[in-house]
Parts: sequence; structure tokens; C-alpha cells
Amino acid sequence: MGKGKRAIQSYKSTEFIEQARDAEGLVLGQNPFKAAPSTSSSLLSCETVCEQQPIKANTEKKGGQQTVSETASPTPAPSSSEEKEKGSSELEAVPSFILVSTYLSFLLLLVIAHMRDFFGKLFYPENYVQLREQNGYAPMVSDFESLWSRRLYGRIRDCFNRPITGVAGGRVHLLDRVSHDFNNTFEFTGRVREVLNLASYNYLGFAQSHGPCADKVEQAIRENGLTHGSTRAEAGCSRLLAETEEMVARFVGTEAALIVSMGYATNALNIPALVSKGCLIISDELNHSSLVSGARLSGATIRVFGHNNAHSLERELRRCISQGQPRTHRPWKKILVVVEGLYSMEGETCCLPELIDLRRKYGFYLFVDEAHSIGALGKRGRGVCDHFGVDPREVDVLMGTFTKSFGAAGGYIAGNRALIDYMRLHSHSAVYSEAMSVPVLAQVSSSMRMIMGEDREHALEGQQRLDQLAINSRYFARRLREMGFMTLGDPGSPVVPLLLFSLGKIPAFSRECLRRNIAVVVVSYPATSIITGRVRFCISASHTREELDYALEQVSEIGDLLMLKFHKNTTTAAGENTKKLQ
Amino acid sequence: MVFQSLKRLNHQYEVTTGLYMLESWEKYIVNGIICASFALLIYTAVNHLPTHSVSIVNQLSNYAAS
Repeated sequence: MGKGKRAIQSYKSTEFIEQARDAEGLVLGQNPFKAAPSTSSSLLSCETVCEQQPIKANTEKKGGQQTVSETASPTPAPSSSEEKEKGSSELEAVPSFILVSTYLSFLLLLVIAHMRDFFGKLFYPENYVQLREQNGYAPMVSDFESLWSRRLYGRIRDCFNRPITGVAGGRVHLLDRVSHDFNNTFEFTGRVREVLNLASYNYLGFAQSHGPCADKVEQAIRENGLTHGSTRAEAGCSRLLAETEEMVARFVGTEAALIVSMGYATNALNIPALVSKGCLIISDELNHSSLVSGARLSGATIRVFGHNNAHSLERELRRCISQGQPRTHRPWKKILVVVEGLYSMEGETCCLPELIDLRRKYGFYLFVDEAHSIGALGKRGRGVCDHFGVDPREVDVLMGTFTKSFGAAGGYIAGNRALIDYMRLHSHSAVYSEAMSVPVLAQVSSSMRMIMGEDREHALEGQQRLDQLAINSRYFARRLREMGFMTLGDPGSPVVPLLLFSLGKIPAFSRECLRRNIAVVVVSYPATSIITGRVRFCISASHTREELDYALEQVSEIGDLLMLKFHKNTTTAAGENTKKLQ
Repeated sequence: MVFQSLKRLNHQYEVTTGLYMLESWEKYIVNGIICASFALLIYTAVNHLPTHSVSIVNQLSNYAAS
């Protein structure tokens, strides 16, 4: 569409509407303003609950800026089920000593960071060359913005990005390293240590180098080579790729699917194909950075709603629909609501039934990113739709990745046939990036076939893995909660985050775990809000009960050492026991 | 035994206040500042609290009587 056509369109939309007028110039017939219905429409009549809540001070985030909120969402949605323990109510139950000490410790660390910078620049200016301007050139690194990574993250750098070797399955081999100058440089001691792996995304245990999937991968490499050598749109569409796409569509329950070779790019490159300038994206405030990237790249207007809060979403929808596009107030071309199936930092699922209700009422398009929930939630492992018993056709775009549950890499987009046919031609990932490589594709194909039970030699193994994952994750979360730790998340989520709060406890926990041969992932700002540092356990079907018991024992000891057990047990263990596999 | 529990208490103190993340010379400086301020507080209390509290009680009794 060229410039000329766009100009004609805009003229038409603001065309003067001819009204029939009488001799004096007054409008004949029905005055359009007086003709508006005086009784509330069907839309307004359903929202009695929403109308009762007064719209608070402007919580709108600026378009394009997603700030990580410090405080919890204002009120938990009353329609959420009672078994879901909301993160906001958990945070309110924290003893205030913990919060105060967290803030004070941050204050102390920041003051020391600034003092060190000040004196360092005074006495050792050659170490800060990249922060100063010199010879008329601007500084390479922003002084203020790199304070966190230099002075705070840098102190505990040995807890992150630990190098591994070998297969990252239930156990993994870590390369030991030691630092003599406070984490500025590392050197390898040469020792390789086998640790229990509670850090890798290996939900169904498909990260194996032996077994039926590995055999099928080897066979596929011998038949098809290692690469397709071209993009899918040109010469890279092989039979394996077409069959796997069909299988993915059948697995998820939609009509068609599109496979992309990189999980991050699945979001970042396909959201711009769905929406463009003049559309509206309403996304959850704790969405993954790939969704944020894709939204910003598309050029659409972005609005944010409170995490998992259907009422906040509704308020935002009504405000945006009534206002229209930013400056012209024209109606939006499309509204896309972007949520995740399972939020990995919180271990919570989205409130899918409420979102489906809102979708029926307001008619927006729903995009669910099932990166963590596909293969891990639901009785048959079909993701968050299976978990809630919702027809997958009610969600417009289902996206997922193969990294977590299938032991492969890459992602897919699934939806109805017209949408996927459109995406095959218009999405940059389908047209310009290379088709998924053969071994990864073969792994996806064989693991998915095994989960669906279509593999004749291992017909029951898929369901066994799903059941084992459900048992393991529920057991682990229940035991942690019984011990008195503050964990987040819904029961049945394979990701169990445990809140650590204080910045001093984060490296202490990680190093203590490593001393006891457990590898965990600790997360702090900026991936989470500043006071809620947490450790995130990723449970896998390949963990045996003994390994989990060992891990729980060690975590309990560390919790005693670091004073982490401040959750008051209100629910009895019996109540949790009755929630068996669903 | 006492040593073990002292070490454990010290570890808990360091981890709660965030001193765990600092290098050892920074820890000495921060602990030194905290000890110095405590010492100052105790000195002031010991020197001035008896006379100060007696004068407060006198003032209060004067207000009550008049």
C-alpha cells in the first residue's frame, strides 16, 4: 500500500457525514446524540463487579515501557480459585523484619558501591577508562547504569553462568572454577564434579544421550543429513518438517502449526507478523522478554495489565477501547492480549477461563505463550488448555517451545489454518531464517510421538513420564511448604520458586547448595522485583524420589542456617494429599 | 562448640545485613563503623543518662506539683 492509498483512506474515515437539515439548519430526523441508547448495553450490564471498583490513580504504563513492578498487584481477583496461592497474598505474610533487613542491606550495598566507585576513580583512574570521556569521545559504558553489574552482580558472579559439560539431565557435570580476585577472573581447577541438576529445563527428562529418541535422531541424520540448508519458504521444506508440523498441530489440538528454529525468535519475529502500527497489545506485566521484544518490534501500542488479574485486564480493555488509538482516537485495528501459560519466575498459570470469558465478551485475539506449560501441565501433557479443560480452538494463537519438555530447541506457533498459512508467507522467521536443523527436528518428532503414545515400542513411556513429573513436582512443593519455606506457584507446576528476599542470602544459598552437590538457579533483580530474590527449582521426571529427598534434606539444612523458614503452615498436609493427579 | 555457634551467628548476621557479599577489608570497615557508633552510644548513655534522667524526674515533679 503506497502513500497515496493511505491518504485516501484517512480522508474517507474523517469524511463529513451529511445530515438532512431543515430550513434553519437544524438536523432533521433523529439527532445522532439523542438517539444513543439510554439503557445500558449488554456489555455494560455484565460488568457490575467492575463498575463497583473505582478506577484508582492512573496505573497506566507508558507505551513501550515495561517496568518491573515492585509492589504486588493491588487486589487479588475475587474470582480466582482458592487453591491458587497468589503471589500478592504471600508477600503480605512476610515478617516485616525480613523486608526491613532486605531494604537496609540494599542501602548498605549501594552506599558501599558508590563509595568504591568514588575512591576508585580518584586513586586508580586507569581502571575506569570505559566510564569516562576521553579525547573528545563519549564514554563507552554508562557509569550509572553499569553500577549494578559492576558492583553488585559482579560480587556474586560465581553463582551464575557456571560452565557445564556433558548431558544436562537429572545429573550434570560442572567444571570447577575458582577466583582469586573477587570474581574478576576465573580459572578452572581441572576438576569435574557431578551434581544433582535442579536447574535445567528438563521437565519430562528427554535430555538424554541414549534411548529411543537418540536412536531416532541418529537414523534421521543418516537419512536426511544435518541441515536443510535453506529457509522453509525456499528449499528447506522437507517431509520431516511437514510431518512434524502436522504432529505439533495434532498434539496441541489446533488445525495447523508453524515451526521456528529458535524459541526466542518465535515470539520476537511472529508477533510483528500478527500486529502492526495501529493495533493494540495488552500484555501481562511479568511477560518474558521475548514477548516484550516482539511487541516493541511490531510498532503497535503496548499497554500492561496487572499480573494474572482479570479485573485489571478488563479495566485496561475498556479504557483503551473507549479511547481508541493514541492521537486520532480511531478504533483499534486489532487488539491482541498476550499472556503466558506458565510464568516461570512465579510458577503460576494464567487465569485462562476468565480470559476466555473476556475474549467472548470483548472480541480480542488471545495469544498464549506455552513455553513452560506445553508437555508439563495437563493430564495428557497438552499444556494449559488441557490443564483447565478449555478447547484449544478458543485461543487464537498458541505458541510454545520445544526446549523445556521435549529436550530439543526451537518453537512453534499453532492456530487455525488461515492464520498459519498467512504466517508462512508474512512472518520473517518463516521466510528469512533457516528451517530447523534435522537432528533437533527428529528429537522433537520422536519425543512428541512418545508423549502422545503413538510410538509402538514405547507406548506407555510418555504417559509414565507425565505422571512422574506431576508426582515429583507436587511432592517437592508440598514438602517445601511443610518445612516452612515460602514458595510461590500453583500445585502441579514443575517450576517451584522459593523466596529468599535478601541479597545476601542469594549467593549464600547457591554456594551452600554447590558445596552439597546440588546445582540450582538463583534469581535476583532485574529478572524479579528488587526485594524478592528467589531460587527456582526445576523438577524433572528423571529425578528419582531418593534424589528429591536428598535435595529436600539439604535445602532444609540450608534453610535453618540462613533463617529462611518463615512461612506459617495454615493448610494441612491432608488437603494437599487429596489433590492427586488431575 | 561455642566457636561453632558463634560462627553460625556471625554467618547469619552477615547474610541478613548483606555484609556477606563484601570483601573482607570492606567488612572490617563497616563493622568498625558500627562498633564505633555503638561505643559512642554507650559512652553517652553511661556518662549522661543518670544525671539526665534525674533532671527529667525533677522537671516532671515540678510540673505535677505546680
